[in-house]
Amino acid sequence: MTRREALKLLLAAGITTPRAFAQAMERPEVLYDLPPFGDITLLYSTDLHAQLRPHYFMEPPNLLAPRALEGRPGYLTGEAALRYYGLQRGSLEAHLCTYVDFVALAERFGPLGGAAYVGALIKRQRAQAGVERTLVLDGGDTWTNSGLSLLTRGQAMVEWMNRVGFDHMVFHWEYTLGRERVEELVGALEARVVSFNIVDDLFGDPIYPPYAIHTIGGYALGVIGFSFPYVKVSHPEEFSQGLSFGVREHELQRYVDELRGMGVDAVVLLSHGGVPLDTALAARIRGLDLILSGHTHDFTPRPVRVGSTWLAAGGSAGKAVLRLDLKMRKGGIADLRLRTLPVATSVLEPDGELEHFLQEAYALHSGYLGQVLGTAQSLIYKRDSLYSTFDELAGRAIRAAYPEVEVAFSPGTRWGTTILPGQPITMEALLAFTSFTYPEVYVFKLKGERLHAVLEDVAANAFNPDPFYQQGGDMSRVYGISYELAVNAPTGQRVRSLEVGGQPLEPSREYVVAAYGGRLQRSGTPLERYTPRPVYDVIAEYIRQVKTVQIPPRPALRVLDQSYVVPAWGG
Amino acid sequence: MDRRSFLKTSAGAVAGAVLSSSLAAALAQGGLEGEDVAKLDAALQKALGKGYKDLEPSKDVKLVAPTIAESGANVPVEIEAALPAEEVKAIHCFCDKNPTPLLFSVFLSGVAPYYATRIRIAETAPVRAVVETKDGKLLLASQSVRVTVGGCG
Repeated sequence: MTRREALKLLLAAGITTPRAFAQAMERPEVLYDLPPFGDITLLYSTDLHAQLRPHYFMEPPNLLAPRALEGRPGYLTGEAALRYYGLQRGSLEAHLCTYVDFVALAERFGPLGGAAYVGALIKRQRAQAGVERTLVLDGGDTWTNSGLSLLTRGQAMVEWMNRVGFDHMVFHWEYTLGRERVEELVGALEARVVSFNIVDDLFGDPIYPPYAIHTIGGYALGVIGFSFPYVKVSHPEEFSQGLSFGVREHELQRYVDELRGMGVDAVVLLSHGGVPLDTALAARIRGLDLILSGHTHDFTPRPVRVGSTWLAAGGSAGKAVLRLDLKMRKGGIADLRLRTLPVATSVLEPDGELEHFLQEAYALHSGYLGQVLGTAQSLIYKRDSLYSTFDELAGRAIRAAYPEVEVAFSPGTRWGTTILPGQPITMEALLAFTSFTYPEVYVFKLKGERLHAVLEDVAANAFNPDPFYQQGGDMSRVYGISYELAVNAPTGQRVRSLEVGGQPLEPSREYVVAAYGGRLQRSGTPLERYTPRPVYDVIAEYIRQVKTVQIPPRPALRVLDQSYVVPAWGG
Repeated sequence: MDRRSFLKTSAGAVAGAVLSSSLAAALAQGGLEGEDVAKLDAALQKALGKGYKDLEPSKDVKLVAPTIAESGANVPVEIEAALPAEEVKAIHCFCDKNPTPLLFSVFLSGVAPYYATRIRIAETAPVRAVVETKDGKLLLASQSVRVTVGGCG
C-alpha cells in the first residue's frame, strides 16, 4: 500500500490523524460518533438469523473461489481480507470481519450482537444522523434460525423489528415459516416489505410492492427489494406454494427504468442476492446507484465500486450495523460514506426497553433454552466453504444414534454461532446451529453413483465461475466420506477420489445415508424402521452422553487447486 | 482417507496436470454447462434437416430463461426475434439432453415473432432458441439452465 492509499483509507474511516487512529483503537466507542455527512442516511442490518442474544460468530477460514472470481469481495477471508480492506490485525474491525486470531480476540472484545444492542445502535445512529433523513433497512434472513424464533414461529422477531422501527425488508429463510405464516406476520410487521421477485406463480404478478420511493431533503430515493432468488430450490416447496422467485434480471431493469422515468434521483437495491450475484448484476443493470447486499454474510469495510454502482455488504449474526451517508446530487449519489459499525457489547449500552421486551419474550422458554447439555473443549464453528467442527459434531451424533449410517450429510448453511473452548453448550447455542422448520434427520439408502452426482451438483452450485449459476450456500458437509476437490474443474469432474469408510466408492452399491436440512432424502429409498427425529434432539442427546466435546478441525478432504486452511482450535 | 493415502494419490504435479487438461477440454467445448451437441445435432437433422453447424448465433434472437430452474418440470421461456414479422417463418426450441430434444415449433403467419411458454427440462443442459427465417436462415440463441437437487444456504 502506498502512503496515499493508506491515507485514503484512514480518511475513509473518518480517522485523519495518527492520534485519532490510536484513540480509535484504544477507545472503540469513538467509532460510533460520526460527524454529519451528506443528505440521506441509510442504516442497514441483514442476516441476523434471529440471534437475539450477544454471541460469538467466527468468519469463514476459507471461501474457496473459482479462478475467475478469486481475490474479489465475496471471496476474501483471513489475511487476504485484512490486506484488501487495510484492517489492523488485532483490531476490533479485524476481529469483526475475519477469523484471524479468533479465540484470543473473542476473549479480548467479548461477545458481539444481540437484539438489545443492535436495536440500541440503530436507535442511537438514527438520532445522531437525524430521524427525518434516515431509513432503516433489513436485508432478510432475520426472522428464523434461533431457538426463540422457532418456538414463537417468528413472532419475537417481528415484535423486535417493530420496536426498533425498520422501514423496509426483503425475504429468504422467512419463507421456511410457510407462506401462510409469513403473510400473517407481514400483517403485524410495521416495516413495509418490498420485493420485485416474489411473484404469483401463474400470472407473474408481484405479491409485494416491488419498490418504495422516499423523498428526503429534496431528493427522491427509490428502494427496490430483491429477495433471495432460489427459495424454492433451497427449501421444501410446500413453504412457498403458488409463488415464484428467481433473479428476473429483465424485470429488475424494467423497474429501475420505471423509477428513473419517474425522475427518481437515485435507485437503491435492497438485495438478498449475495455479493457474487449482486456484483454481477451491478455490472449488467443500468441505472442502479447502490446495492445493499445480504445473503452471503460478507463484510465490505470499504464500499465496492462496480462501474457506476456502489455495493456494501452487511455481514451477519447481529455483528454489525452499516451506516451509509449519501451526499446526493440531481440524478445520482455524488459521494458516499460507509461505516461498518461493530455491535460490540463491551462498548455499547443495551437499549432498556428492548432488554425488557427480550426478558418477557424469553420468560416462557428460558428453562428449555438455558439447559446446559455439556461443555466445549475446542472451538465449535460452522462457517466455511467445505467443513466445520459443528458439522463434524452433527455427524458424530447421527452416527451414535444410527450406528449403521455410513455417510451423514449436513447442509452448508451459512448461519449458526460459535462456541469458544471452555464454554458451556446450551440448548439455545445448539439451536442457533440447527433451528430449521424442517429439522428431521432422514435415514435412507442411496446408490454410490447418485451420492457422487449429488456432491458434484452441490459443488457446481457453490463453485460455478458464473454467479448467475450459483445457487447459494457453502458445500454440503459429509461425515464418513473423504474426497478430493478441484474447484476449477468443469462440472462433473470437481469431486474425485471419493472414499466411504476408507474404501473407494462403489457406484452400484447402496449406502446407508443420513441427511437433514435439505431434500437429499428424496433421491434415495427411505428405511422405514426409522421415524425421522429433529437433528437438535439427536445432537442434544449425544452431547449429554459425552458431556465434553472436543473436535480438532481435521477435514477428511483435500483441495487440489487452492490453498485450504483450518483455524486454530484452542486445544 | 488417511494422510498417507492422500500423499500417495495427490503427488502435486500429477493432480495439477489432470486438472489443467480437463479445464482445457471444458474451454474447448465452449463451456455451456450440460452441452450435448451430438444429441442436439441429431434432433436438428430430424426436425429441420440441418445440423448444429448450420445454425448462426445471432444477437437478433432473445432467449429469456432462468439460469437455475425452480423446477425442471416447469421452466418459463420467452423467445423473441428482433426482425420484421414478415421475415420470420418459425420459432423452434430445443434442449440438448431431453429424451426428445425438440420442445416445440411455432409457425408464424405474419404475427410478431414472439413466443412464451413453459417447458420441461430433464437435467442441466442448454436451451436453444432457433429462429427460422423465410430465406432459410437458422438464427440461434443458447442458454444453459441448471436443474439442481437443491440444498442450501
